[in-house]
Amino acid sequence: MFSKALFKQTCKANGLMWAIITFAVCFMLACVMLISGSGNISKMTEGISDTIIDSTIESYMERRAINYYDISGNALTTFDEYFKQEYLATGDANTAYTNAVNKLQAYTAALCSSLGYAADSDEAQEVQGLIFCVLNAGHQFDEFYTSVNETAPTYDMATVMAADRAEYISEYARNNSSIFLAANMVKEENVDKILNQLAAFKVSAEKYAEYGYSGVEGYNNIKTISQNTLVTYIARYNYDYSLVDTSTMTPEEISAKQKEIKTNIAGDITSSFISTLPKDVSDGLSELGEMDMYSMIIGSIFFKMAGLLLPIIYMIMVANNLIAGQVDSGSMAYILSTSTKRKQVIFTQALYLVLSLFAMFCLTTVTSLVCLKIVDSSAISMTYTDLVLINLGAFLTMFAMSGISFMASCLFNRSKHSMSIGGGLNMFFLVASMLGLFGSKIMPSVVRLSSLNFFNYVTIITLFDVNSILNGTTTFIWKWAILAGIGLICYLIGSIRFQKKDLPL
Amino acid sequence: METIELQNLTKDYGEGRGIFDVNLTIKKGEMVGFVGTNGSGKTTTIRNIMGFLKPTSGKAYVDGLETWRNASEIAKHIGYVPGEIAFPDLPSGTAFLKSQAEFYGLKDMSFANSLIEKLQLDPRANLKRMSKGMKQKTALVAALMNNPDILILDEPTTGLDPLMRLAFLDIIKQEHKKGKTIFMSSHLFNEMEDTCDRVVLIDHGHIIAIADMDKDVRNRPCKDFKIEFKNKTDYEKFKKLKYKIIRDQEQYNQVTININNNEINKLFKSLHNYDVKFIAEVKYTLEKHFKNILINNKIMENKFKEEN
Repeated sequence: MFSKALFKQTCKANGLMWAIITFAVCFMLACVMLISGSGNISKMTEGISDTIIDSTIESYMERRAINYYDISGNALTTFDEYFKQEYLATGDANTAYTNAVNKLQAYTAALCSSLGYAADSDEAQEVQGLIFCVLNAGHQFDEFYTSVNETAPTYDMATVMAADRAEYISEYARNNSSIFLAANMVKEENVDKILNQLAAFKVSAEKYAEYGYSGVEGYNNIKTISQNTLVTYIARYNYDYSLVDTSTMTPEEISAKQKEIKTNIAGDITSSFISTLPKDVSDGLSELGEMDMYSMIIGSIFFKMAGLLLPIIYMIMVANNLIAGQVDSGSMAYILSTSTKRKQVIFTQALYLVLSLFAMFCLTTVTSLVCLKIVDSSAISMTYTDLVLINLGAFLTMFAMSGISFMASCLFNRSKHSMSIGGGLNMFFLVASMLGLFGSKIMPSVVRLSSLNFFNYVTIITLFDVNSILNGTTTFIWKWAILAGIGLICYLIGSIRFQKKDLPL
Repeated sequence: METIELQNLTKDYGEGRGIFDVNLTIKKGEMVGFVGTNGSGKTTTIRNIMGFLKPTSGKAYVDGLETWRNASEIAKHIGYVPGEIAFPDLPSGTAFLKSQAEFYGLKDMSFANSLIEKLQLDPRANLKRMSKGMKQKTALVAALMNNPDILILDEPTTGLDPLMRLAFLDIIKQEHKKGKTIFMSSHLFNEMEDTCDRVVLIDHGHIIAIADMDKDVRNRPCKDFKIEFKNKTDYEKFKKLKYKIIRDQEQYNQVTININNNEINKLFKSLHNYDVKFIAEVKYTLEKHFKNILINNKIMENKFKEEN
């Protein structure tokens, strides 16, 4: 089956090309892995995700600020009402105050249950805490205020009977709800809660601290955010409300209108940077922030395109040289006239092609493992196993493609035919896979052209499923089996045909 | 057992191309030439003998083995010089010959080296930059180095200069003297004339004639002479003698006669009385022989047509 002399001759004829191509591929791979692993790429993704996360947290804070302001403002207005009623009924300010506080407690409980919070749930306690902390009845919460270096407020009851206190309440609620929010948000248990929610974005405690939402700095930061938001909110509300003609409306209609305005404004103000963008773009941006740039560049761009190009060129040329080239030029005559069987010729040549490709990918495997070891960054999720599997996948892809080229080389007696069929088909596969990449799901949707996804269905390189390898699923295995099958069948057809055909030697 | 035997060998490429119903036997130690125009089927026949082509019908045998099925077996006994010389992708002639030796399983290169010396070949030259002659020599060394019993050469002298051609044919003749069976194709008649035992003429895929050089060309029982006379009267007088005149050119006072070898003395005696300007033997060549055969065939064909 095997002819040592022929193998030697083939090695001599194609060895130099093999060495050059292998060196070039390994060099390219090392460059790509070391340069993209040196931080630039992961920094870019980090930058994008930072922006997204930061603005998401900020809008979360803004929403809370408005929420807190509304709850506390409403509660204070209600408290004023209760106080007025009690004062008119009893005539004593102190009794009225105590009764009003009690009534407010009932109001709070009712509010909580209307919002669907159980009496002792965290949310209910938060609402309760907010209302009474802001009111600060009997200076119960002075300690809370001094703990964050703020002067404890006193809710002024002197003017309650005399004037319209809407503006006073608004300002009072704005200041104190902001303080409450800021103090609340930097509490450890709440930071933990937020971190839990952000876990999906891979945000660590240190990272969160970098955004400036914890500690004293965080407190001031959140307070400022809250104050600013509320100023905008109140101003916009007043303006929008002033445009409404309330003279013909029933009280119910007016309160409904107020609610509507509030919701609109709150939505406008709190919408984060991401949610103000069109949905496609925002999806794309958050995708970009989440995606593993490094794995994409190594797995999909290098091993499915750039890294395959040179081996494909080598493979096309060698597959042609091995059979069709020698039949076309006539030099095959010297081999066959030395009593070397055609079976031996075809087996040896096929073996050389497969082994040379295998050796090439063994070297790229070693190169890529060494490079990953050098880069070794926590930002890279790619493992050594992933890399070995990707290299093996690339080899299997080349095996299938070389099978096609080899078959063409066996079927045709003319180099030009073998080259144009075997080489053309394989180049088409490569180009299709390049175009297909821009339509595939691994591409961020911002730059994805879904119509190009069509090309993924016409190239066998698609069967090399890098995503499945990186995501740890097993789909890639049966796709490998198909690749191996294509390769084997092509080699088999080629060798059978070569043994039976006429040779113009 | 014949060394090479073709039985009704047909390889039809369609549109009248190929070879049709070729029958030929070559005995051991014989040197046979194979002549025909370009595209007449010489190479196709040789490829069939080498077992590179599967015949449409008929069989080719070498040493009693059917060639298509036993190509690798018969290759052991054949040294082959292909028509188109294209070497494998190797750096030098030496590398190529070494590689060939490995294919043959030859460890002893002394015979190859003696061949190289005899051919005055410098095999260290780059294979791609070799001249046509060097390539032919290298190919011949590759074919002979295994000391095969049979040599098959496809137009080995094409493209060589006359001196090189003579040297090349000399080597082949020497191999023939050693008792090797040689089958050599060419489109030149004259180089076959003094080397081959038999020459086969092929045209449009059919074997037209097989000439036995000794019997048909070299030692014919009769010869042709061209005689020119100085004056008309002698010319007219000579024509009245009963010699077989095959060509008559009155304007030059020339006749060409065909006489038996044993009549030559008689001719000279009769010419004694004439004023002869010159007398020359018209050489009978292989080309003429085949031309005559073709003419005869055409006459026969026409007769055949008329009869039907």
